[in-house]
Amino acid sequence: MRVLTTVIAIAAGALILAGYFFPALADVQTLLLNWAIILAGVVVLVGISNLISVHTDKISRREKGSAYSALLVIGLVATLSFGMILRPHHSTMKIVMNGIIIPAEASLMGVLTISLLYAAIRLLRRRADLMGIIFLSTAALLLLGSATLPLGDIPLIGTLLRPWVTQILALGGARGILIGVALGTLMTGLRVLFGADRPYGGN
Amino acid sequence: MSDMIKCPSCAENNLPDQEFCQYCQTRLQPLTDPLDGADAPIKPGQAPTKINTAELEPILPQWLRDARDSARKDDQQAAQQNLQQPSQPKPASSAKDPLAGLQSQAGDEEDMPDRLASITGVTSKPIKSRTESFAVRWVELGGKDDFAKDESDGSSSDLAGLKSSEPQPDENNEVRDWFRNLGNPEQAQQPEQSDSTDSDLPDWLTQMATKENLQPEGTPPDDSADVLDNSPVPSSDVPDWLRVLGSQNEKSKSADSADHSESSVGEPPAGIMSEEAESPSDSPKPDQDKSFEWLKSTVPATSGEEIPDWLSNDAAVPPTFTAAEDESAELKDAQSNGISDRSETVALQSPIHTESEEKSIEPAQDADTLGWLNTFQAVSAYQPENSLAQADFTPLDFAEDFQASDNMDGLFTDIPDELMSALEAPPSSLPTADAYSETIAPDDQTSWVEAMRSVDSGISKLSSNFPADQTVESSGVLAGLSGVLPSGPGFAQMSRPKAYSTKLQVSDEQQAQAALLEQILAAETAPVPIASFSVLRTSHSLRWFLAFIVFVMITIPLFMRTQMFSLPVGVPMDVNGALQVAQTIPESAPVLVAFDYEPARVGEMEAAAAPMFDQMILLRHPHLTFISTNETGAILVERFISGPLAVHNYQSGIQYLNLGYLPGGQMGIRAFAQNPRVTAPFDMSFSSAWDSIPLAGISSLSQFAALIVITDDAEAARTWIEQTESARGAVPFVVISSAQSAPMIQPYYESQQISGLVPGLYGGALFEQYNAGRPGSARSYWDAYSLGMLLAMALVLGGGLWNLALGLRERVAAWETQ
Repeated sequence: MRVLTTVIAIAAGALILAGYFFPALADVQTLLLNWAIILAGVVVLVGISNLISVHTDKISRREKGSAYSALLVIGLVATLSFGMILRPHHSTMKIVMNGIIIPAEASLMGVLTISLLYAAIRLLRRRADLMGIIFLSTAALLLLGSATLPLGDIPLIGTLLRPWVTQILALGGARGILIGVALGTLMTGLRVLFGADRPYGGN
Repeated sequence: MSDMIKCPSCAENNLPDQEFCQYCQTRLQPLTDPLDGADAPIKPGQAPTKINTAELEPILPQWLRDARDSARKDDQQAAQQNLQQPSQPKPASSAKDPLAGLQSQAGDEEDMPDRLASITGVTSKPIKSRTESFAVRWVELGGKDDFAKDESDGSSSDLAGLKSSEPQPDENNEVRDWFRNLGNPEQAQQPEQSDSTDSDLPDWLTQMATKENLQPEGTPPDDSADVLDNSPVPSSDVPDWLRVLGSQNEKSKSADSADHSESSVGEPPAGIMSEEAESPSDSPKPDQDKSFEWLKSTVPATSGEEIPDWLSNDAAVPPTFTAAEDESAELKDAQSNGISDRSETVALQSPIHTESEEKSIEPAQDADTLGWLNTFQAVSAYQPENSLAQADFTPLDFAEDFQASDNMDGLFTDIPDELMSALEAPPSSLPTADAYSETIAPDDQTSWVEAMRSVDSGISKLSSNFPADQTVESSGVLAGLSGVLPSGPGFAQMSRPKAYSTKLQVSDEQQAQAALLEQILAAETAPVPIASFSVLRTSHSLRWFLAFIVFVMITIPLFMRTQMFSLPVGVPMDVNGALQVAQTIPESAPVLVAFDYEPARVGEMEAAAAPMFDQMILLRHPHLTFISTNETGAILVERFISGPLAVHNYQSGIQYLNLGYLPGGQMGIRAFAQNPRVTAPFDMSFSSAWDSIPLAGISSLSQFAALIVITDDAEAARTWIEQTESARGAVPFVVISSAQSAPMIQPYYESQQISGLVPGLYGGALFEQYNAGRPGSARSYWDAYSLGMLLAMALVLGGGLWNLALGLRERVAAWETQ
């Protein structure tokens, strides 16, 4: 079985990679990618089914916090039902989105804002070193450069320092990260193709 | 009768085949077999094994150490006496004499062995007559054959193993303590006696004569042999080899007596023996009589008296002896020197000899007692010349009377056998140095005797090469001896081996390096304390303060819709690229829009995207096709259309089309880029999407007029950029991102993979300025946004500095406490 899974994985990867170089294999590549998309959709359904089963077990065993589990299951079933029945563009679905999902997540972002601010203030008390000072100084500089004064941009900071930091320092760091990600992805793909890594359960 | 065995216990004769004594049931036959193999005794002539006895010095018994110390003291005293008496002559050592190394000590009277001293000094012991036949043997542990074998050997050969040990009193102790103790009572009197003796006579004879003088009238003369017989010490305590030697001497004496009768020796006793040779059959006990004829001649006729007259004479110089001395003084000196060197061995043999048949009185002659025996060996070398001169000795007048007296015979039993053998033996039969070494049965030798033999064997050869070596040994069992170990090649390293210190000799530099190494090792193993700070408790008040002040500072401008802060001026390149795309798309051109952001970012993303879409819709009325890789993207699309773009009244399926959710992540995007029709065939109402008006005639990404990605995730932007690059061709690609992900997307703009970038609210505000301020969402947020940014900056700086000061104060306090 392990050999079969390995052969399938390597063959699929090789065919999709070959589809980039050989146009004749483009249909095969598309077919395999469609299969992957279908499997990914099924995975979402499987995930939803697992979520429902876990929380229903908690409700049935009357564990601590089972009320929240009941609320989650009720909301999931209701949203699923409304979406399947009323369709996503129905006004009810808009109310659910605008009244529940967006405020809940937005509030989390607001709390995150306070938490980040609090952490930045207390940072130098825990770690009063050079990197901490540089970190806070950069954050303060970008905050100041992102804002404007009633009279316009903050001189020198908003017009010079902030663009320089974002376009030079941040750009260089981000490019380095992206190059690293690309190399990592390449190596991971090669290892999977050669069977060195078997994330599909082939050890 | 010659095969009779004498019981060692009851002294009764037994048949030779009897195992036990018929009188006292004492065992007569030995129980042990002769040794063989590795334990076999050393054969005569066998090369001795050199043993470094210096290593055994620490394990020597205390009594031996004491004896050695006393020997050293005696040496010192002797040296002092020599200095005080420079005129006392010392016999010159012979180069060929195996005992040459001992001559220096043999000349000292105080160095006379205790055994010999006991022989010559012990008095007031009645002499017990011994008239048994010589053929009767005393049996200790050996058989008859053993005696026969030993008799074949030279009786004087035992001196080889003992000659070097003579001057050492500690070795006398090794023989037997009781033997030494017997002589001790007399040692105190020896110095006085030696002073009164004649220098021409041997010391032992002089002492004996002196003691006889000191004894009261009628007291029977004493001798060592008698002492041995009458001593409470049992005969079993006598060493075996000593008993054997006694038997050997008896044998040799009986055998040599005939030879002595035929030849004359150029010495005073020899003259006596020459007289015996004339009538060997006169005495019923020829051996006994012959052995002491010379001595009898020196004693006045004292037949029938307990004490000989000559012993009572203070002069103690027999006239015959004096006459012989007059005739050959040199020869007499040589004889006395030779005998003195062998006196100890002779003394050891004498008890056995006494028990056998005879009593003798040692002639007291010279203080150099040990030297006279050496003379006999020297005499043997030039015997042919001396024999003629000594043949003229006249027999003593009192010889016959002396022979008739049993008591006098008993007195003469103390004459050493070696001396008797030397006197009675013909010149040709005098033992050589090799013969001495074969006398003592090796199995009867004790370890120290064997050790001495080993050294002596080497000395016997090398001493001739180094005759003048008189080095006094300072260590080992030979400590106190002089001239024993010649300082020649091979013997120069006889000193104690160099003692090496067990302590490590380390220099200062090495110690410093060792200390440094220890410090390094200690630092490696020592735990490094981790700088720990006091747990900073969460300041809920600060949290609440921050939440309050941020909420107030942001909500107030929002509710008041203030426009105090000016919009940013100047258009960055990335924003300008997006603006160019929005303005250059064709009229009613299909535009593909990907909604990949979370509902939490909807405020920022809508504010950033609304100005661009507002401008596009106003300018070009594009047909928008929405697709999302996020589950909530489809609903967010409806929100966006019905929210910021509600003024444009776009209708689904006519002006825009919502393809909904695109599963598969990167694979879904890749598949959609390759074949959008297959990947997303339906819209949100399950209608055929590609047959609708917005997608009419569109079958690939390259057919879209523009591709716009609205995302708050840099990874999603990267996926769309990378996976659609080959499919979209030259289609403009614009990314509207959040301010958080903009730095990660910026490189794609710099690399021209995307046409423009609108970074968050800042980009939306810029774009809105070029859209105549429409839709105004950016502007409505901008005051709150700017105020919040300034507030955050102020809090971070102020709070950071304050907490930095607090932290430094805490660290200083912590350091002070430590």
